[in-house]
Amino acid sequence: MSRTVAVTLLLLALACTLFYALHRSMADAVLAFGAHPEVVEALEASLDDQKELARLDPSVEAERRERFDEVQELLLRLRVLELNRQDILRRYEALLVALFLASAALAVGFLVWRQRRQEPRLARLQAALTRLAAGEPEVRAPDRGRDAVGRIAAMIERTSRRMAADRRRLAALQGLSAWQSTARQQVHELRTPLTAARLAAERLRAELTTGGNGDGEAAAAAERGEEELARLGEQARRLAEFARLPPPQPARSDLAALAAEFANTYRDAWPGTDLSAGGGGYEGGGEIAVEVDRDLLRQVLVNLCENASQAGAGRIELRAGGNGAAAELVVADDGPGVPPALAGRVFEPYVTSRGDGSGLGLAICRKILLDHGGDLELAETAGGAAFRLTLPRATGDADGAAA
Amino acid sequence: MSGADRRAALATLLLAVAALAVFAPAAGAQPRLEARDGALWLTALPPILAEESVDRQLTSGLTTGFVFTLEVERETRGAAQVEIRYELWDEVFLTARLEAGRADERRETVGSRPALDRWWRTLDLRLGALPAGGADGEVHLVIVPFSQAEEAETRRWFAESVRRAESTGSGDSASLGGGGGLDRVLTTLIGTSIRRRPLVEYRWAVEIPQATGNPEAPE
Repeated sequence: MSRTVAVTLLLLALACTLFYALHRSMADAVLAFGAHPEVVEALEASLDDQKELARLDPSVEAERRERFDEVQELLLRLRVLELNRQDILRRYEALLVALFLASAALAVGFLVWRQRRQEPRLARLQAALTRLAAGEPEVRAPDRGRDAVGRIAAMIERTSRRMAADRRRLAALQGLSAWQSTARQQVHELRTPLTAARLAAERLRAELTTGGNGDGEAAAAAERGEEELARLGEQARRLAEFARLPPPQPARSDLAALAAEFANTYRDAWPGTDLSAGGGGYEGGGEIAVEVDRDLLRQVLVNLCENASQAGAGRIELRAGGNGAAAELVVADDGPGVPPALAGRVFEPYVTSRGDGSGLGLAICRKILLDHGGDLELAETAGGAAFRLTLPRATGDADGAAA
Repeated sequence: MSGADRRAALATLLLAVAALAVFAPAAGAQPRLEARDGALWLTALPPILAEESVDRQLTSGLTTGFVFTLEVERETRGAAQVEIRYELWDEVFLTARLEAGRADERRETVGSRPALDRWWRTLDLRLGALPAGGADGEVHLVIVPFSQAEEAETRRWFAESVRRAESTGSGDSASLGGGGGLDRVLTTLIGTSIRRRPLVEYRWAVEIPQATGNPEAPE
């Protein structure tokens, strides 16, 4: 629209400039003086004067005659102009009209050309919108113009990506909720027999090791059984933790500040692993305001750093950033990375690359982020592993009046 | 109505008739074609010099042109041209006529306006060879207010005036739109509107006389 207005203004300016030039050239030079009746009268009077002067003084007749001829020449030219005055004015006006018509034709031509150029773009936009309405994932609107059509195309693509992400989040939430339901049942069924078995194992080990009549090998076997039961108990505890994740209690926080605080607090938690926080900040500057449950976020970060450390990473970096309506925190390490075979299933419960892992840590982490309205994804990296935590950006002012 | 009133009315009527006779529009009068010496002559020209627009033009100092053509069945069969220019210094009328079949231009000087009227009334113009067989034709007179030379001279002067105005009076106008190109186009467009257009035109239906004897061979 702004381009159309600019071109129209340009054409009008061109027309005005041409008009001005035309007016100056013509009106100043000819129309203003050529047809003035007083000029003609003065010239006629001058002719009479020359003749009278010559009559009164015949000695200057030649000189007067010469002057007479000059004036007469000018007078005759003006009379010719006067005879053509209406035609000249008509031609002058016709030129003006032609000039403005040409300008108008140019403007109309430009608008028609622009309209014809817009039609296929609008058709592509319409097709993209139709695909978007049909629920097609990752709709592409092939228009990179900087005008309204281009901006709408970009909005369609952004909306499509957002809808696709929402669908992924919803599917993940549904899957994890189903797993949580199953976990609750398993915990319920495991807890009582596991407790009874652990108590029985403790009593057996006590009997085998007390009174001096115990069998050493039997006692050791009982102890191993007790340890296995303890491991099973830990698994059950993790399962219970997954099954009964508390709903988040979000509060407005600066994600970059949270990351920095976490890195500072947990700097020495994983010996041999250098933990640091950085990042470019929020797009456009300022704080990266999010509504987040700080305890749950800390649990997620601990889990991710624990995994990285156990995988042998020597460096973990937290990078806070974001764009548009989303804030993100990337947890990147220089470890061996996630095996490609697991990359697509890494957030599913019981999927782990470690033999002693429960396979519930990343599932819990993602569930926490999903409960915040965000997500946890495995980011593509050249080396190591990188997890991207996304959270909705907090709106409203810093006093807690979030929208 | 009394007798005095009747006399007054009659006098008024007579005056009106007399005025009509004197100032009758020239278009009412007819020129005549004559066959003479095997050629066709235009004679008895109507007093169109007395027409107001023509009269005013005759004393302007410009060359007034009178172009006569004879048309028969939409074809031109003869032509003649008369030019009258009032010499402002000597206060005489310079006339020139160019007739069909005559290579030279005949020039005459007429000393006064009444003399010019007399000269006009006695003017015989040779339109060309006498066509075979009589027919009805039409004499077409176009009066143009200035000559081709005066037209060309005024155009040249006009263009020169525009250039002079650009370079002196309004120096900034020369810088507008490049000054030269646009102005040249405009000067040409406006300059070409200076043209010889008919001041007035007349058409008279005439009877072409029969050829008597041997028609004159074309010259």
